[in-house]
Amino acid sequence: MNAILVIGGAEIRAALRNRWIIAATLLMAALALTLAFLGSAPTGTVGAGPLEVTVVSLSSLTIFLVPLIALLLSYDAIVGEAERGTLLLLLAYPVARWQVVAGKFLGHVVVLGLATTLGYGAAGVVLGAIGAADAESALAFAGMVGSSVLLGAAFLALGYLVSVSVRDRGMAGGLAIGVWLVLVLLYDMALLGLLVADQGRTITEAAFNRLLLLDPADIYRLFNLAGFAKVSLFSGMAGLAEQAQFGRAALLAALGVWIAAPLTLAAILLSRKQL
Amino acid sequence: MTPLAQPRPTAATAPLAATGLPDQAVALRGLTKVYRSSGRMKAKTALDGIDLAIPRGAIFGLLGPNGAGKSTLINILAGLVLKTAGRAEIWGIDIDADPRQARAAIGVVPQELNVDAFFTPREMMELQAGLYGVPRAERRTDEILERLGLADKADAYARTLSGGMRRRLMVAKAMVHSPPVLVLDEPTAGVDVELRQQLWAQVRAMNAAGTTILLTTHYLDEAEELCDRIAIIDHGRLIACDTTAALLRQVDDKTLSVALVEPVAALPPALSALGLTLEAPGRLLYRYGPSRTRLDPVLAAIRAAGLTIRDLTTKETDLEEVFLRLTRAEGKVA
Repeated sequence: MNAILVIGGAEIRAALRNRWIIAATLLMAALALTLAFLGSAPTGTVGAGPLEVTVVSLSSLTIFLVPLIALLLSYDAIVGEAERGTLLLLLAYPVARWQVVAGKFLGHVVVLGLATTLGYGAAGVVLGAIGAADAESALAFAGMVGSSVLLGAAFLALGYLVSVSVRDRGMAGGLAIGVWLVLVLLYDMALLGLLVADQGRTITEAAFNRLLLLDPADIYRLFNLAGFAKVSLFSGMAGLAEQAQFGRAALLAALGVWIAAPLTLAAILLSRKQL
Repeated sequence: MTPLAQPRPTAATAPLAATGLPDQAVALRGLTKVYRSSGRMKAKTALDGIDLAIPRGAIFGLLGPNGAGKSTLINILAGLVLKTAGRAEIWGIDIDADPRQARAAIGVVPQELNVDAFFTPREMMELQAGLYGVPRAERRTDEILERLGLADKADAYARTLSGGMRRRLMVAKAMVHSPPVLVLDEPTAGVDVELRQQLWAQVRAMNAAGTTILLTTHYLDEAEELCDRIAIIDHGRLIACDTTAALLRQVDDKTLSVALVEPVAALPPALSALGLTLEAPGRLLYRYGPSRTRLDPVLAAIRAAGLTIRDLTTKETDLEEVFLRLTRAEGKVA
């Protein structure tokens, strides 16, 4: 455990030194505050809207942004070290290979978690201070921040899987972009196309719900946009929320699987890799 | 230069400290590594039944041409490559039975200067000590940095260090857990003469303090200068392992160069019959085996031919000659 903490601590320190945390935090805070104050602009008003509107806007943005940041952080975590020659040295220490994966992942989760919590938290604090939130809204906002970290962790784990699967950073970068495109954009489009083509003949409601679990971005969307009653009204997903098959706990567990499975696979692949 | 402190018993070495130190710092028996075929790559035997004993306290040179198997051997000791067969012990610890303790008994200084630009030497040392599980109270960060001449750069970002400083930092990092065995992989590759001399002095100091050194190098003069024992591997096989002096004695070959007062256009037949050659109009060469040949008759023959000797020099066989002869012979066998 100590080795994992040491490796994780080194990742956090490196991210502080190379300004990753500051840059990501500022970006997220700027976007969150902008959405908090201008999120109601389409309705003809400018100013802080209800917290639920911010949750809807930020969730939609998070689905694109957080996976991208997570993949950027993680795609070269292993292959980059291998290319620089530092991985061999690290593995020559009395640490197991899975500990290297776990430690670096832990460090990156803290980096992403700090940036998300501080960045989004800034908007939450401002909106709370001006009284735009009640207890249920605050819970929805906290859930959104927490699930954003989990979504980031899932894409970090996918980034690690990419990073141990290839032999050079260029290929890892290309593969990471591919993962982002498929899971954030293409999967939903493909699912929509399938539904239209199928016309409800084969794909039942239950099957559709399960298909959504095959994409962490969709799990996140379901959790935040349909998981809280007031938020689902603003997100236009109240109808979907009524038919949702999975509760919030199940959705969080599904995100947990999306974190654990790729990470475990990455650790196994690294353990078997001939360096 | 003050030598580094004696390597202290670590978690890895503690059991041995109670029973006495091992005679052999590293012991290999029948060590074999076969890389499986993969895609277009054919299967390759990188190490073929290596038996090798590195005595405790030695500066041991591991030599061999590129691709001979040196890196594979070191990587097996460092736990980076799984051996196919055979046994390997570091400081008496079997690398299969207790890989973590075996790794804790060895420090590796790689050839590449892998330093993280965003960390200071002190932070890197502390990080490495953490990975080796060295308790804070037992860490010797400042002491090691001081000994390696890096004390004034302890808190500077690594990106500001010169190449020589980075090289010394790599050595310092490998010493954080006081390993009884230190592997230096091409430590002076591409460094200038002054730094080379500094590093040699530091290697000697560490060895004097009790650390067994395993050195790989392409500079044969470096091996000859530093190492008291040398092993040569080629095509995955051990082709020589002896003291440096004994290896040098293996090749019974010396060259005598005779500078003449008056240049000669052709070599007198009497001298040619003895085996002398005319290198230049004013210089004769004579190759001989010192164990078999006396020089008196040769010098007398030169004088008898009417030539006056201005100067004499002899060239001893060096390790490069030994290395080339052994590896060429091995190449013919292979």
